Amino acid sequence: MRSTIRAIATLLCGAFLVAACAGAGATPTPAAATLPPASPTAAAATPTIAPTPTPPAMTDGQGPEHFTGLPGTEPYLEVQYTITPVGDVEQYRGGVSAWDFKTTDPRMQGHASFAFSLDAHGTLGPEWGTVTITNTDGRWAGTWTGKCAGGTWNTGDWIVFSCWLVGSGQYKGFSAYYSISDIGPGSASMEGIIFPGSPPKL
Amino acid sequence: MAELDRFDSQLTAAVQAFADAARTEVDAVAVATRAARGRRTGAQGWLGQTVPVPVALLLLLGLLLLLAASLAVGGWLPFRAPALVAAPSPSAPVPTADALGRVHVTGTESVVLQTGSSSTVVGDVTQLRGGIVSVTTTANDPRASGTGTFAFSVDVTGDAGVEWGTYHLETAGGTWDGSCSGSTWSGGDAAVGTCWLTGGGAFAGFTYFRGYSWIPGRVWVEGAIYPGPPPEP
Repeated sequence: MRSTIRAIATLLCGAFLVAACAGAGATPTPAAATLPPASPTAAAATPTIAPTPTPPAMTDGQGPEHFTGLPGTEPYLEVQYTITPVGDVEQYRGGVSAWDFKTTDPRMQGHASFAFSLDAHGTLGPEWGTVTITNTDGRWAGTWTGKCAGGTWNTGDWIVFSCWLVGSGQYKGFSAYYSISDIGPGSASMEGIIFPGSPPKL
Repeated sequence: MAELDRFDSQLTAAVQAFADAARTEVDAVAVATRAARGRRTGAQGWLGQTVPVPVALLLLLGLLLLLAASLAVGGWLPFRAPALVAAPSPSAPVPTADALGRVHVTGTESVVLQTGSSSTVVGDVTQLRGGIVSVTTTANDPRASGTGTFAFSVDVTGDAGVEWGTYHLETAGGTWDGSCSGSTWSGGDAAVGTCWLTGGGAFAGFTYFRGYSWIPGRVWVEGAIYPGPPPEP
């Protein structure tokens, strides 16, 4: 499960943050213009403008909103984990990964940390833990035990993960659903919503 | 109720757009070939997806029914992007289960509203209750292919919907049961969520983690089946 190790450090956010929501069209690329040659020929008079991806619209940061991820930083390991083989399973415990990110909603951005556990069943397995997101205005925490969880496979290359978060600070009274998926090349995505009230009782 | 009126408008527009965009020049062999190759990655407009004509018609009918139901209950309905997608990267091998039955699940699905939900406005929240959707999943592993029943609830505030419910998946070899939760937006036209299901019958002792995306252009089901229980708090 060496790759799972990499996964821990990168899966949650690795591809996700770097590709940062390529699937969501979140990477604004400057328009590439083909300049006309120096000689003023008629054929060269009109520059060719390449299509430019439309950046996602930002929310007003108020009330209930859907958000989608924007490019962020590479994740890194804040706290080393242990690995304990138990039968056919390798148990990863005590690790903390972290990353910085932005979304289309200014409330859902900042520094994220994920205190994780993972049971590696061969090349795949469930992972779970606590997600905390902090920024200057408040904090989002997945303290609703057991509701930050997901799965990873292909030795950690790919992941689907979701978390119910509760706001504090200026986000008090709001909750958020925060999901990350990276299921193949160019597919990385972060999606979620912010809403007033509490997460559902499952 | 202004928001709900807006949802009605969006739903109507989506149905009309779907009808306008539905393609009928499908080569069944080509579709089957693409499906056999596995999943496709990358965003594409789901309204422009090639789908078998009968499926498209059924989906359109389903959407129209949903529209009617939506009008009846006041607007928002979690109707889902129909059957879409899936044509993965040609080079990606199709995952198969190992000797212990562990497998990465990847597939496609279509969703049809089976039972409309009731709608109750409580303050700023519209509560949808009692709805049931039928989900037909085609996946790389037969244990994940079958007909799912999602009995859902949704709380809608503004354009953000919290959804949760119970899921039952019936397959040829056994069953899966558990809970799902996620979020929905764009008038119910987009949703993501996850489910933790435990096996019954021949699947007893296994867990199926099921992640789904019903975002236009990014519709998929992905997950993992492994021996053992779901994670515990």
